[in-house]
This record gives sequence, C-alpha cells and structure tokens, in this order.
Amino acid sequence: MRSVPNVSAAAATLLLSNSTFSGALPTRTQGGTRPSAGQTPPTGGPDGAGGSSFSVDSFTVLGLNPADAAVGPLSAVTLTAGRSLASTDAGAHVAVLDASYATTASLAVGGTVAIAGTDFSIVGLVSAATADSATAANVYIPLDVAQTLAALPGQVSNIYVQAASSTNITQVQADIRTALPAATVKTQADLASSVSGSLASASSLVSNLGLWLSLIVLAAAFLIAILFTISGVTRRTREFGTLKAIGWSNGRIVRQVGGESLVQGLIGGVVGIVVGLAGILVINIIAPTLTAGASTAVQAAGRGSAGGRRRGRCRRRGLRPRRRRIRRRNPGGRRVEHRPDGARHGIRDPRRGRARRSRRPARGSDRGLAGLPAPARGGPAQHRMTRPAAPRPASPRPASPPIFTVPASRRTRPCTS
Amino acid sequence: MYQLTNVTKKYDQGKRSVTALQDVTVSIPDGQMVAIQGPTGGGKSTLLQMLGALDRPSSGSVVFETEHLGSSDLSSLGDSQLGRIRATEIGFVFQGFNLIPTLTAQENVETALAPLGGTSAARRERSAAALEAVGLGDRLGHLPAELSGGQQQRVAIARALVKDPTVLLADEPTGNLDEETRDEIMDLLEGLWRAQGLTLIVVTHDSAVARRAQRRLHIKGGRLTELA
Repeated sequence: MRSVPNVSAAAATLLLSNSTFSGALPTRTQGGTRPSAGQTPPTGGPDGAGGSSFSVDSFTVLGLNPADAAVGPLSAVTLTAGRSLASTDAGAHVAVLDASYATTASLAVGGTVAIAGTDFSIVGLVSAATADSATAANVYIPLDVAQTLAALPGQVSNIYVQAASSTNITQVQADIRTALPAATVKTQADLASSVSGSLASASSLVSNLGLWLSLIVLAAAFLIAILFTISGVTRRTREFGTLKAIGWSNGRIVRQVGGESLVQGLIGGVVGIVVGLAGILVINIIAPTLTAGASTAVQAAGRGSAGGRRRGRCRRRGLRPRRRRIRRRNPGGRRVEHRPDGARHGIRDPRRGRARRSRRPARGSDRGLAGLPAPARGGPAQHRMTRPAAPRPASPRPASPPIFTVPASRRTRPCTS
Repeated sequence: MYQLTNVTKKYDQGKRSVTALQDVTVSIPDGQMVAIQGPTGGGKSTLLQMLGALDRPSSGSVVFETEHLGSSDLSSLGDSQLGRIRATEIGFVFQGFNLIPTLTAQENVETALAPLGGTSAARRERSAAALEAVGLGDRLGHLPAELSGGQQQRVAIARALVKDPTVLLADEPTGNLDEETRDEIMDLLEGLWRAQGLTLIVVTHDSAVARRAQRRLHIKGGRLTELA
C-alpha cells in the first residue's frame, strides 16, 4: 500500500470477536421426547423447571501493528494508564484495553485478559479522545499475535491509509481502487456524506410526516367546526324563528350566524397560533435537532459517540451493552476494507466451515445447574474466536465482492442482559 | 284592518291532509281588541300565523290594510315583502317570551329595530324608552335569566312595541304567569292598546283574559265563530 503514490502512511488491522459461552443447556433436548403422563418432567435450571442457565460473553479484539500506531486506531485515543503497544511487543501476549471495557470487566493494568483461551498481560488502558466518542475495539493486541490466534496468517480486515496531502485524496482513492479493484475505498468525506444523507432522509421523512399530520389535523378541525356550527344552528331554531317573527330576513339571520362563526374562528385561530407557537418552542427545547447532530457526529465525534452514551445508559440499567465494531477515521486519511461476500459479524467463518474453539478456566460467573451435567466451578468454558469481517491478504490480488457498511442508526442498538 | 275571506289552510302529513282552517271569513277593524279562544288543535295558532304574515293560506285571501302600506293581500306577497310587513307593522308576544338568553334586556329589544336600520345610538335610545314604558327602566343590562317571568314578558312586550306597530299579536301572553302577574301584564297590554291605538289580537285559553277584549272569537276544528 505504501507503494501507492502520495500515501504517507498505512496501517493494517485485523478485527476479531472473542465469544465465551459458559453454563449448560438442559439434557432434555438430546432425546427430543416429551414425558408421558405420570412421568416426572425435566428438571434443572435455576428454578428447577427444566430451563437452561448460561451466559455469553463477547468482546472485540483488534490486532494492529504497533509500529503503525500513527495511522491506526490507536492514533486517536488517549492513554489513561500504563503504556501503549510498542514495536517490541510484536509476537508478545500483551494487550491494551479500552478503559470503559476494563472498568466493566473489572480489569486493570498488570492483570491478564483471556483471549481465545490464552492469557494476555494488560500493559495499558486507552480511552476515547473526546467524551462523546468511543474507541475502535475493546482489546488491542499485536497484529501477528491476532493472526496466529485466528489462524489467519498474513490476513487483515482493514487498512488505514493517510494521504500525503489533502489535495491528493481523490487521486489516492483512485490509485487504491486500481491497486485493489475488489476493495471498497471510502474517504472521510464519503462516510460523512453517507451518514448525513441518512439524516437528511430522516429529516425529509419527519417533514413529510409533519405535513400530512398538519393536513389531517386541519381537516379534522374543519369537520369539528362544521359539526359544532350545525349543532349550534339546530339548537337555535327557536331563536331564529323569533327573529323571523319580528322581521328579520333569512339573509340577515344567515349573516348573523356567519359573523358569529367568523369571530369565533378568528379568536380560535389566534389562540391556536399562540398555543402552536408555544408547542413548537417547547418541542424545540426538549427535542434533538437532526441537522446539528449530523454535523457534529460525522466531523468530530465519529460514530463512537452514541456507543459511549449507550454503554453508559446500559450500565445505569445494570445491563451489559452489546458491543459493536467501531472504526476510527484519521484526519486526512483513507481506509481500505476487504470483506468477502457473506461474512458477517460475530458468526463463524464461512470459508472455514467452523470456528476455532479454545478452552479456558471458567470464570467466577460460570454456574453449575441442579440436576444437569453442568460444569463444575472452575471447570472449562467454551470460547469462540471469530472474525467480524473475514480478512483477506493485504495484497493487490482481487478478493470477493467487498462490503463496507455504515450503520444507519447509532442510537437504537439494544442492550443485552 | 284585516279582511280574511274563505281562508283555508291545509297541512300535508304524508298521505294525509290536515285542515287547520276551514273557510274562515272575518273582518278585524283597526284599533280593536280581539280575543281568540278555542281548544288545543282548534286552529288558533294557525290563524295567528295568517294574521302575522308568517304563513300563507292554502286558499282564500288575507287582506291587510294600514295607513303606511295601504292594502295588501298577504297570501300573494313574497317572503321579503312579508318580512318587511312583520318588521314595521306587526308585533309579536309569545307565551314562552322567546328572549335571546345571551343578550341583555335592552339588546333583546334592539333586535326588533335591526331590520329597520338607523344608528346604534338611536336604537339604544328607543329600546331604553320602550323598556321604560313597560316599567323596566332599571333592568336594561339584565340578562333574561336574571329577570322574573313577568319581567321577561314585559321585555317581550317592549320588543314588540318598540317599532310602533299597528298590530300586536299575543299568543297566550299570560300562559306562563301566575294570576297576579297575569293581571299586571294584561293591564299593561290593555293600557298600551288604549294609549297607542293598536289593533290587539290575543289568543288565550284564559276566559278572564278573553273577557277584557272588545270582541271574542272562538275557533274549533278550523271553523271560526263569533261569541257574543
């Protein structure tokens, strides 16, 4: 990649997901037969009703070359404890953790974190550069170690590229496309436009919805006004008869009723405008503004901002936030991502057929189940190491049709208990 | 002066036809006080509607003659002409008073002057004078709900007379009043009749009221007869 003209720096990363399953499922599923009349129903589970008790722990692991930290995801974080990865860490089982994740998992510098059954020494903690953003992964380890753990030697999932000058971005993008025709090449401007385009669509939807709601409310108001007028005229039949008897013409009576309705309409209109303006003011005060949010999120905060807020919200609820992949962008840089068709986050590698598994000593959270062959405390737990995006060799060779996705919604991802 | 000749009024009720007035012929000179009596459904109200230019007969003629308008056959006039006659020549007093509840006594009286035009100040002055004439000079700003039944009927009488009509038609004017108030209202009507030279036609069930009239008519089954 550095052979592409006007590329000043490049950093390759391999994003993985470490999933740990602990607990046991009920044995009833082995036979698949339901108990006949008089037989004892299956037991187990925390309440003895035959249910299962297990937990799944998952966090993201990002392998990166410590020598390329100036461009990679660690270039936009703040070191809060210990040290960052260094060039001498290549091949070593050392890790830098996201500070928020470390707090959630009760980990600290000097301790160890188990990845694919292998203990890594925690040498440092990093946090997002700004309060409303998040880091790219939960755990950072040397790239070669990550490739070894995932049995994907020489493969990466993302390449971060920094152009020598902002004036060369378009040309660099074209050159990268030529060099990697199967890859998806996105600039920061592309990411910004895709996100702001989604927000513009949402804004248009809101505008159209408001227009139709206004028309419906207007029609309803007219209908109600007509009904009230008819009701009022019907109730005043005796009055109109009296006016007719004392010499009022039909036209004068109609004008009288119309004048009264006009005055009532004007008063109602004025009151409605005042109330409406007050409502708009209240809504503007309490509601978020889409336009402002788009500009800030894309240009400065990045997609990590919502994740940070979500994690905070979930923690306040006593829940664990669902992790998602977060890509950092470097000012003036480019990112290249290879992703074969069909690969998904958090599932097994479709080309390998099954995921790698490893075992590690069970954590304190692993529980045995009454009446079921549950693992004893301290027994083994199952680990699964998967690639969120199947890596491809960092070579110009064409790959499968690439996919690069930008989550449309960043604020509605659920929490998992 | 009224001259009714062979007046018949029929109402169609589906396939049936109800005859409310049957060949009524009667003459009522100017300045006369007439009482019309009869059982319910006998045709009293229908006859009053013919005299008040509120309805037209099915057949026959209702000739109404005054100094201002001359002689007119009400059965052949259009709605606007009938409305004009009602606005200038005929005053109505109803059993239920028929005051507009959201208007004050003075405003109720002013409604009778609205079709005649004129300035707002002139209408206000005339309405105040009419209420003064019926003894309600200190109740100008009162709503009907704030007045007694007798006072409300006085307001209705003031509304009927504020335009200086030639005919005053009263449909059971004392029907909702006690005897004492009834006598007060009849004294008022009789006094105004005498003072203003009105033609006063009163429809009533009350023989005591009818006995005050110069002339008594009885209508039953749509047929009108003269009582001695």
